Formats: sequence, structure tokens, C-alpha cells
Amino acid sequence: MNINVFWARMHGGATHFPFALLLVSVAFDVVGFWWRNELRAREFTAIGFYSLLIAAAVSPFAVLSGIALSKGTLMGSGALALHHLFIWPTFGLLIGLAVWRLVVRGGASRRAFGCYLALANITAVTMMAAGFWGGELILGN
Amino acid sequence: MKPSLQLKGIALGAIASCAAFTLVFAVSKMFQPSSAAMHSVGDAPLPPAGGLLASQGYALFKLNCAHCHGLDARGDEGPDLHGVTKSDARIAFLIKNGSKGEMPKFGAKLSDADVRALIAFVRSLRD
Repeated sequence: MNINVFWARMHGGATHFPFALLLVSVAFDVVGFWWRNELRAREFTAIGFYSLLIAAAVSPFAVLSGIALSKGTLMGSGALALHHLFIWPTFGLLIGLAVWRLVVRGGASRRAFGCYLALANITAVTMMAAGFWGGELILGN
Repeated sequence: MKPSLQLKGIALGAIASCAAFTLVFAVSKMFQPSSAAMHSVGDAPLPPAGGLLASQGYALFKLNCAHCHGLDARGDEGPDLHGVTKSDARIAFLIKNGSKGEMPKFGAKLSDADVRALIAFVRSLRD
């Protein structure tokens, strides 16, 4: 198999794990934030926490395969540039937020967790935008 | 206690993000074609015919098309480009607009001059 085709397939496979896990994490954290039953709320945020950690842990594989696929291009032009424009903030935020959650664990104040949720939602939106432009690179008409 | 823990988390998160970007930058350098390799594209025996324009086309081909058509343009996921019978206008249209589900579009990425160079490269390919 051509090495470029190998990286294209690896990127296609690797990107969907952090994408899906981040969306799951945000969804459960939002539910946990508003849920009245404290015990159930903790369970929801625990799901959000571990989903986020796994998303951050696997995201370097997606980034590495993408860099290999684009032959080290960090910005490029056209749809590739738009893909990168959204993916780099997403990657930075994802790693940063995961480390913050790992350090703080359950010790975050409600206000701090609210700020975290706002940033996590922004990360999810930028990740969707990056995914859209990544798809346009392959399937755009 | 809580605020200091949260601030520590912010600081470590920022450091981790910076470290991640440093790694990304370092890894990107590893995957970038070396300048020697880029120069060798122009000196390479491929394409055997077609002149400077075709050589420029081959350099573009390696960066944009070889993922699917193979480095020797013999095809991989994309078809073999040797002996293509389509018109120049049709090839230009396909490069610029792609083919849904089969080939990405490059209209936003490649200029008309780039497309002409790619066509020259494709025309230089012999069976």
C-alpha cells in the first residue's frame, strides 16, 4: 500500500475517536452540571471526565497522521487551511482542558466548572468545523 | 484551597497545550519534504518528457495527487494516469472541481498555472 494512502486511512480512522468522545464528554458534563440529584450528577460528570481524557489521549494519533498525510503542512491553503484553522485551537483546547480536569478532578467550583463547560462547548464547535472542512477536502464538490 | 488548585490546573493545562504544539511543530518538520528532495524533483528522471512545465507539474503531483494516484502515477486508490485520453479541459475541470466521492477538488488550492503544469505532467506520462 502507498504510504500516503496508509496515512489517509489512519487519519480517517484516528480522527473520529476524539471527535465522538469530546461530543460525548460535553453532553454528559452539561447534563451533570444541571442535574439536581447530586449523586447522579457526579456520575454524569464522571462519564464526561473519562471521555475527555480518552479523547485527549488519542488526539495526538489523529494529529500525527494528519501531519504525515499533509507532509508536514501546518496551514496550507483552501479547504486544508480552513481545516487547520479550526483544528489547531481545538487540539490546544482539548489538551489544556483535559489537563485542567485531571488536576482539579472534583475540586472545581461551580463557577469554574461553568467556565470549563463554556470552553468545552467552544472546543466541540471548532472540532465540528474542523471535521466539516476535513470532509470537504475529501468529498467536497 | 480550591482556587489555588484551579489556577494550578490552568497553568498545567496551558503548559501541556504549549508542549503539544511544540511536539506538533517538531513532528511537522520530520514529515516535510527536505529541500534536497524538492530540488531533486526537478532533476528527477520523471517525467522523461515534457520539459520544465511537466517537471513543475510533477512537483505539484507529488504534493497533491500522489496520495491516491501513487508516486509513479500508476494508480493506487485513484486510477493510473498513464495514457489518459481525456481532453485538457476535462482534466482541468476534474482537478479543479473533483468528482464527488471519488476525487477531492483542488480549485481553491491550485492556480490555473498549477493546473496547466499538472496537465503537462500527465501528458508526459508514457505507458
